[in-house]
Amino acid sequence: MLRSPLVVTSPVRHRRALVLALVVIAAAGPSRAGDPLPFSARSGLDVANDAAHTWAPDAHLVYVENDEDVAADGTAVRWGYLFYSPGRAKARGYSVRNGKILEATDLEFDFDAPPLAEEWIDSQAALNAAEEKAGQKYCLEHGGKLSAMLLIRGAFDEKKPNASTWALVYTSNSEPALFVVVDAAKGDVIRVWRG
Amino acid sequence: MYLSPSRITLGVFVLLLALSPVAALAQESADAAGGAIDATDAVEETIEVKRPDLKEPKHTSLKFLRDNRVFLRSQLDRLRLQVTRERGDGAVILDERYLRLEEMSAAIAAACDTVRSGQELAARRDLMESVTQLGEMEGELTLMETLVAEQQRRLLALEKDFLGHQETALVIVVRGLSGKGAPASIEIAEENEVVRVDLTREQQRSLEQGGIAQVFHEFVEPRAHTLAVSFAGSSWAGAAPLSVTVETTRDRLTFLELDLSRLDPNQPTLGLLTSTWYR
Repeated sequence: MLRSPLVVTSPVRHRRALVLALVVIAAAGPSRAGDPLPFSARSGLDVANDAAHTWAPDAHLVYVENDEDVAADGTAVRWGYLFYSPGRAKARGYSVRNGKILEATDLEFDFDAPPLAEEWIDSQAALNAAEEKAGQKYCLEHGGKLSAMLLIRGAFDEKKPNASTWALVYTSNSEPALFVVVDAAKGDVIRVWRG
Repeated sequence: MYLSPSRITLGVFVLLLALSPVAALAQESADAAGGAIDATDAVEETIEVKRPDLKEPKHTSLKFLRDNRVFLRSQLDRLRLQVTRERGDGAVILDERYLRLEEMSAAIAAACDTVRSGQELAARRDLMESVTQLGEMEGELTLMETLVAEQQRRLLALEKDFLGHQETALVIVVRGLSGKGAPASIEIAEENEVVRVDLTREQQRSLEQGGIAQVFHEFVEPRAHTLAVSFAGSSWAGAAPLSVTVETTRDRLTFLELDLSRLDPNQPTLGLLTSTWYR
């Protein structure tokens, strides 16, 4: 979970939130040996890339998404990578944890997405940009949290469909979801909307 | 040491007995290897229709994608991909003789006809005026036969070069820029694929001096291709793409020549001459 939904602005509620947060932290305990280590999206790409090219030499990366909650520093203990092979006309996803392929599955529907650009900012930088622009405010005001962050090309930038973009989706129980789209080449927020 | 013939015969017999299992084993190995090669050669492909085994993954992955597949797919459906390949080696200036292969083949065929008609003429002669003339005629025929044999050998070599294992391919050459400013680059587009060939200054100068450039050589589908050819450069600014249709024949090398000698950059819709030949 990126942010505690208990974070509020009034002093009384603030103290209560602090106590509850301490309880949650104590219950969670320190990370134990053997626990999966969080990593950034790009850090897990190499192992997924190797696997994908064993599956199909012409496979290219088309999509990245967090498979577990994203931490405040933009890391997650599991990331999913989707590759598309034009030769096979199929897409195959790899879920990476602790530097290993945890799950490899053919996508059950057609998804011939365009290949992602070679250069893209890592998940930390994308999260920082989104938080600064709108995400942090949304979470504070509506008790929201980051539900998903995904990297795709062509789907979220109307003006520049060639661009690869990170899309960060924040959700709250009381408000419509917040979408923040970050240019994956430059790191700028290019679009924010509720829906 | 002396060995009697009977001892030698016995020794050879014993040696053969000892080696026979080895020889049999070697033969079996050879047979097995041969069998493996045969099995590889005789691959039979069968098609069986089955339903995929749908296994629920242990760990949920790509959840947002799966939950929002309709939305994401609808966004992707609005896109089109344009693939641009930039050739690093640029254009290749060709020897003009390479383009005269068709003429050469025709000349060889004509020579064959000449020889054949000469032979027929000789056969029709009823009476030789003298034995000396007969000898001369025989010498002439021998020479012509030698020429025919040499020409056939050359023709076979040419056919081997151009027809052996040929896959469907298209070669586009550009010529006719003598005395004109050559374009800086040439783009050949078909549907969503664009090939751009940048011409170096040296290549441009060569074209301007009457040279010929090969700008495209790729394997293509055996069908009619409608290509949009456009030129870029200082004297070609604003020139609209030219549409050229070429039919590529299966397992043949199709040459498309773009003759720009009558092409005016200011009126590009007029004057592009094309010719096609096959090898």
